[in-house]
Amino acid sequence: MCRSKNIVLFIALLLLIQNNFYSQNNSKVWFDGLGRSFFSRDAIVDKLKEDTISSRNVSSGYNLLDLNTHVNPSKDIEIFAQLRIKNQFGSFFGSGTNINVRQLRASGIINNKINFNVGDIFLKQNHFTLYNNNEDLNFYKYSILNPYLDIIHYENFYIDNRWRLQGIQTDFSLEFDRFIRTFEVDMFITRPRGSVQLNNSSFSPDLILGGGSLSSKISNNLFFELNYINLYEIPSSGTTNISVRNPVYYSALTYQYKRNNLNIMHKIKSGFSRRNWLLSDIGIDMYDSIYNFTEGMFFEFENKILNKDSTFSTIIGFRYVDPNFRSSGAQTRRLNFNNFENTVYPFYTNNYINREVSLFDITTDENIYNQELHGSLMEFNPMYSNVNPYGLATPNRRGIYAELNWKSGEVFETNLTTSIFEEVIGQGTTNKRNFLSFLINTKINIDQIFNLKKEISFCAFYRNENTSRFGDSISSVNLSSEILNSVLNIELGNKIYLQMGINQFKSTGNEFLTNRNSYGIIQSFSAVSYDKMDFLNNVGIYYKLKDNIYANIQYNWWGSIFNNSLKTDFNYNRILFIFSVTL
Amino acid sequence: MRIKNYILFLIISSFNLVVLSCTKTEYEGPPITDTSFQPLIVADFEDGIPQGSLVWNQTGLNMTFETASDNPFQGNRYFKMGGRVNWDYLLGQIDIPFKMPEINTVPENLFFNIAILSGIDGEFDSDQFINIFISESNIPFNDDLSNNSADVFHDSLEVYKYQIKPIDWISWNMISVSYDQFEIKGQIAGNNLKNPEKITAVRIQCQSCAVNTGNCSGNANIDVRTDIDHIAFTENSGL
Repeated sequence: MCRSKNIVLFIALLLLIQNNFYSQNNSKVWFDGLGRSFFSRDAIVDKLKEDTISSRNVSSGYNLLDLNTHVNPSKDIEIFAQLRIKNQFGSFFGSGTNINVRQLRASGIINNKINFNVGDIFLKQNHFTLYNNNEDLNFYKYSILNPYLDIIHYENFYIDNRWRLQGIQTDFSLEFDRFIRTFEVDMFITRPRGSVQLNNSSFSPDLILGGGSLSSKISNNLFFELNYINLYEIPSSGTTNISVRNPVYYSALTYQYKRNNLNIMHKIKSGFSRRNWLLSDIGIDMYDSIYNFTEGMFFEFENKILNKDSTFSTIIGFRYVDPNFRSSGAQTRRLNFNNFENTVYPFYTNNYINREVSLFDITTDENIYNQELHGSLMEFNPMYSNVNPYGLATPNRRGIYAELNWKSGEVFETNLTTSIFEEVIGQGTTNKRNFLSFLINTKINIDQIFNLKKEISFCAFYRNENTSRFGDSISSVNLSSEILNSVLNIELGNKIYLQMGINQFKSTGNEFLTNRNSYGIIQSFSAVSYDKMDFLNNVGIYYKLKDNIYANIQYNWWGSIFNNSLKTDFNYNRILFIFSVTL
Repeated sequence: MRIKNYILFLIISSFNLVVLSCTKTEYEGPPITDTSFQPLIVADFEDGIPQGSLVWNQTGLNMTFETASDNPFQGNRYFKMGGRVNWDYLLGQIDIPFKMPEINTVPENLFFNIAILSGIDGEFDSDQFINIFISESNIPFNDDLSNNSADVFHDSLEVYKYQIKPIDWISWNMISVSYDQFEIKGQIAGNNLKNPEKITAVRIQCQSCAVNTGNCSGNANIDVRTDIDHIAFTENSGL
């Protein structure tokens, strides 16, 4: 049945392409998209003698074509469909070939005034209401690992920190000649999850995300913004009697001005959230009742200075997020450590034990990432992210942060970021955790220094996170995590680069994991200790045929080393080939 | 100039608000008193059955597979499991998804705790018992919607079993069993090494000898009652 459906889809696609020849002349249908070939082969390094039951090597790969069809029945309307044809390596004559509709959207402008989008839409508001925070260990800016990043983001619809949702969105703006300059309105309503059948007689309710924003340019210097978002379930659409409600309110005031050669901006953000669960018909006298009601606020004051040629900028700010601040749209994580299973060698050793997630998996495995909004805080691994595991909206934090960006012509550019935070209230003890983070990201264009014709650049990234909590020997915490990434790019020929990279992650110390029930209430703590090092080193060739076409072949050495006699190290190699064309 | 004053006022008032709201001395969660993990609650039924759980029962007489509040072991609510099915051993079951957090403990030190209420009007079915299944399978909890139960307890998967038999007491009784006492349920599956960190689900089954088999001691007129409450994992000792 599914196969015949695919065939029908494919025929429809062919007809559409044929139709394009005449319709393209009328500028009514046009195409873009992406094509990619991917092949990887992972192998156990011979030193790993303890594993004789796993395959010595595994290979996988695919070819895919994402064909974006844009149909413009009128100049103000566009119908967009993304069709994916994917063929796993090793399949022939249609077996193993999938054709899927990956995105569908209608969009347009009504009377040159009101924009609308219906279908698959990508939404973002701000860091406290709706924001798709970057994944843990996001250090790829100049890295040899960028092709991996491209794939992870593309496959999971991570575009510009937006969440991909299905629903309807509209926006319009008004201009005035007195009192205020502009007034912009944006509204949306989406359904992140439909009713799901739990068993023969019960269904979960629909999950709805709705919201809107108002922003106004009061004067050339002053801007005002209001955001509202609400994640809620509709009890009548299911048979379970529990439904979540999580409205979040946000306001911001921005004042910016110029002084000498500097653009200066001050921004105040503040707001609050509410969350509760509605229990239908099991309260006293069969009335609905509200359980686990929590309310929390946040506040941020940020100052930014930018010089006119954008070669220097600095940010300094203060942030407070209440322990009970809950915002599903902004606190949902990309990496879900619940039911986490690696794609490559998920088990190892002759005891067939689960292989722990490592730097390699976070960097390369597109299947471990999350695309769904969660109504309660997801699990995180403090080893990989402990200062702000839920982004800037991480609850129970207050402190200051600073950032410095500096670019010296074409030779040198660097980014320095640091923050000092502490908990607002303790967890399991009145003593609070203290968080200190430091990050530096630098790129040096060596060819510019020595006036070379071929490009040579060196990039280095270092991040350190420290968590500490003073107290007795039982409740004290001391955890340190470091990541180092360095890449050397050498242009061998015309846009052919030799790339070498070293990536190491190290974590030592102890922490307590919080175990929450399904309503987010802490039930218990689990003491954990870490002493491990992950590595992912690479060497490869990157050929940039055009701005939209590249081929990359690289060899990776990856694994983990544990300073713990109860855990077994693992060590693998990978050869990777990617050919990518953006149509 | 007025705008600057307004912003300054906002900053100062907001900062005061934040500072004042931070004079908190309480803390979240239970106190950290020792390095054993605090009891990990699988189900306390205070807010109904745990989210995602599946309840199934046979058609029979006086079947009660639901939460109730008349006589809880702890808190305000508990889960009733009972009734009368003369033609089968199995009366019903509840399947509860449970993600074990990252813990470093061995099966000998991990204890499964469950409070069980037995007896109606001073009598109990002498053949009633409870089966406890613990799954370490990581397949989806409920992918097959046609079988009224979770998929993670199939014989072909890594599932461990413990039987509490007989349940021959009146009123509540807290039972604690170390994980190493659980037996392999089906055939050899997974690594069969009992890794507490891999626990993904718990099934509690209410059973009683089927009167129609002729093997029972005449409990045909007594309803089975094996109500449960406060299911939890603990470390180093039971509750």
